[in-house]
Amino acid sequence: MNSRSASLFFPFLVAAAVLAATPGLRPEPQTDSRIPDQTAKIAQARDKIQEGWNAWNEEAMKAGRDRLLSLLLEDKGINARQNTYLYYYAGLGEYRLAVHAFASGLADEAASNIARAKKYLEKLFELQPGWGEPYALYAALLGYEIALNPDRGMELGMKTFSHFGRAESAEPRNPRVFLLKGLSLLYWPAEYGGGPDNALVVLARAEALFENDESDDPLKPSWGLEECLTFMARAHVQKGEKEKAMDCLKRASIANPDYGLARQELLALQKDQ
Amino acid sequence: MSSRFFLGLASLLFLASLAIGGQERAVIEGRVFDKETRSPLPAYISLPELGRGVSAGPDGRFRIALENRPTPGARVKVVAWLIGFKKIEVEALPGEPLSLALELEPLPAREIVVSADSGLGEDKPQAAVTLDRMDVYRMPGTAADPLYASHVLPGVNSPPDASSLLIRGGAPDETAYHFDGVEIIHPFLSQSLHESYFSIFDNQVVEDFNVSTSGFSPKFGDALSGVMDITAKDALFKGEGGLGLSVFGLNSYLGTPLAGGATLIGSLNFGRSELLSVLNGDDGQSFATGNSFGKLVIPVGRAHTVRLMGLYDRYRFSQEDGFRAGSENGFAALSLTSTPSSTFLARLLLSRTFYGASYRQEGVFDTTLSDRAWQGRLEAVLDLDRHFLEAGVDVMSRGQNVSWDAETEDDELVRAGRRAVYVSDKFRALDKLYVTAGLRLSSLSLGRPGWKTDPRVSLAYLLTKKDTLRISTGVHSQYGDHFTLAQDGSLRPRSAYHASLSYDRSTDDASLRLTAYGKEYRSLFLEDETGAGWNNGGRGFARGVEIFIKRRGRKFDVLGVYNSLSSKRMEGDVSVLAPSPYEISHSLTAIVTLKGSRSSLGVRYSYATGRPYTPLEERVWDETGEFYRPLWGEPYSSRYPSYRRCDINGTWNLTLGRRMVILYFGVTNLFNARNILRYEYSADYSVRNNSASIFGRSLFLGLYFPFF
Repeated sequence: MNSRSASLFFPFLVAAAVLAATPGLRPEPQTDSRIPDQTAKIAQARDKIQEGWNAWNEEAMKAGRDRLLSLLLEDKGINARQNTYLYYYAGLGEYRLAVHAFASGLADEAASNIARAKKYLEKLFELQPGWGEPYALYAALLGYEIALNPDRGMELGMKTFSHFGRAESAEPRNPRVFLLKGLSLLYWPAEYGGGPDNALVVLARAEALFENDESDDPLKPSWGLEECLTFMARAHVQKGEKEKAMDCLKRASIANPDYGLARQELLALQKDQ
Repeated sequence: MSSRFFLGLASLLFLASLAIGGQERAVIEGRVFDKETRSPLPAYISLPELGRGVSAGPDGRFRIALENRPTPGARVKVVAWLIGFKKIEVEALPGEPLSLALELEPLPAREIVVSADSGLGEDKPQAAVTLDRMDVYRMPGTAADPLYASHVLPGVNSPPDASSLLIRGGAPDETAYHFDGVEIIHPFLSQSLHESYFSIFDNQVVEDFNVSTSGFSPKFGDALSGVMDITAKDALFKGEGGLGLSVFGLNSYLGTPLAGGATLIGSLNFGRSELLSVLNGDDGQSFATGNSFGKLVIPVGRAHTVRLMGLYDRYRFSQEDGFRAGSENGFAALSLTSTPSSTFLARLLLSRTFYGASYRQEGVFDTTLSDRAWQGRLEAVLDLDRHFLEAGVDVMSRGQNVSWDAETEDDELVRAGRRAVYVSDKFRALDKLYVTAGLRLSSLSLGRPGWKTDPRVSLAYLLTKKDTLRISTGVHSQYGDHFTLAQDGSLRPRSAYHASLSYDRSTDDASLRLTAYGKEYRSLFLEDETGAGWNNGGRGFARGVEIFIKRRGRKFDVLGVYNSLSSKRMEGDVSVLAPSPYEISHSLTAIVTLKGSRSSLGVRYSYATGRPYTPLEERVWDETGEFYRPLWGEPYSSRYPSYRRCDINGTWNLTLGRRMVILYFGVTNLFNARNILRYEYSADYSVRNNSASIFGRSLFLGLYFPFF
């Protein structure tokens, strides 16, 4: 190599040396054993949110979310894996509060919940990019954002597709990915691939996947079967299939006897008959 | 006794009320808000020593009752936090109202646009001027071409006719174009002596692009004024596509995930002008285009990705008088990207670009051009949160061939090798101050030997989370025409010294950018006095201001751009500092787009001052040669008439069966304004012809079937 061509590579070698000398890379999330006490606290907070969700009780959901925030703020004895669950459940809590606010006609509050939920989930994208479920939750939030800002439908709609696609690609056997997608499809126009028929296909897949949704990890998300069945019922109602709808709602009530929405919709259907 | 009893009872009640009152005051309460905007924040407030906490309400107010009355005067530790904001800790006296101001967490270096880039993207980078994808589709007069769409970005002075970008008074060839990392030397569909029309980039496969008008990254070089960096769609997680049919032809796009996490992206478009001509009453000329793009993304293991890409573009033009032009343009590329960790990326890209064009007039001329290049690029990126480091090497071997007349003259051939290395560090110097410092060294095997060093520094200071101040300065070099460099071995690359100051305000639904800039040109190629050779004695400047406003509403969007420019150049055969031929003193674009739930209607008005030209003073008869000779006036001392154009377009989303169909139309130059692009003279200089824009009033109709 002559001196001229050697000089070509010199600055790059210097740059490479600088790069090599830089401090160590950010550690990957640890998978070591958890401190049971913190695990129990996270599980309690998660259950509090679920309790509020079952009973459509905003205060309980807020209380659960606040417990998670308190743990996030403490940051004591929390390992990396617990930390990802804290962000996940904080995001889920805000998502459910957003749904509550949206259903209650509190658009500003819903927007505020959506914004916070997105931030928790964005943090999760950084912490554990291979986890698909947060992408699905994010996509579902975008659906609510479209409902609040219909003029951004086309722009956010494409992003929604992309996030659901990413979630499916990362976790093709995660029932909640398909549950969240099915819920969204139920309210999308048919020409965008939505509507009750398309939603039912996806929700049925989610239901099938729930059968094998078991884990030894006490913090791993396990919610959703009762919601899946309830929204399958809604899709059937939209198609005029009341018997099928009632069957789904009965199964939803068995899956989670505390889930108020299934009971309420079942009662309404029975009353209609 | 009774009075004593009542007095005692009253005293007890008084003491009890004091006690109860005291208990009521044993609370921690207050308000939490954004330190910058003073807007309330629903932050989480914790009393860690007491194990209590609560989220503030939407109004930022919070109240935590203390279970036990604290010792009088004792303070309680209060922590406030909200995701995206810095945690704060204060000590508070129970009962004393608290005002807690939270400050934004500093953003990682990568999240800040330090130079004043503008572009298209789904995600809006922190305080940068961006267009979203729908802007490009809805924008009248752009034919959904990314290059035409970029004309409305601040700093781009081009009138809407030509595709080429005149960035801050620079010549069209002073802008570099990169597509997925491949340097595209000929980005235009149709390239002629004076104008270039449309680009070879199909908007259906474009993910995002940005246009840098100053202080651009050292990874880009060989450009004096700006860089357009386009990224194609990449790994997809869900299939998408579309089929379009218009009066011009057919376009199609498919993007689909494949087994093993791979993705295939492809587009195929064909166009012919005949139907368009019939619709708009044009005749005498016709053209046809073909364009295809393919990209295969193949993950290899968890950390590597191989990408194969190819683009091919064909253009044919013919006139009744026998003139024929045609071109073939494209590239093939292979890249390997390795991401051994989430913070490090290395990429090797090898590509081959090709361009061939021919211009024929039966019995008059038969010119063919060919321009082929091999490119290699190795780059590495390290994200350390506070530092974002980039370094790389790029090499290019390029060969150009011009055959002026295949039968009578020899070909002109030139070959050159270009090498460059660069390093850049974007870092957070302070919480709110972001700096990009970089260096690029390059050399070319033609002209004067040696390495050219281009240092560049840009600063971005976040005044608030919505307001950013940017300063950029740097040296940018460009080698220029290789045939000229081959003629004279002592020519150095041309240089431009950039300095710009920008203020950006960016909110969720509005953007504002104000910029003042100066660009000093040095070492421009100047013809020797004898006319036999070249030297680096040319120079010039471009100075100006820009205003960009974009506002998005529920029912309509508004976009406005104003550029003011003063530019002079001494270059080529102009041996005095004269107005630059690219000086468009004032240009203004205003776009209003009305949005319905299933339709949109856009109106665009463009105005630009005419460009300078050299006037013909008179013609004189040459006795010896027996022909008329022109006597030209002062260089570029007159101006063409100003340019005006109004375009409209619209879309209507229909449902056919269960499928969405988009019906769209566009009317270019609604009022049929006759815009003069240049003057041409008869052979004896007795007659001046106005060469007008090809964009007379024309109607365009089409249908698009998107697939989700």
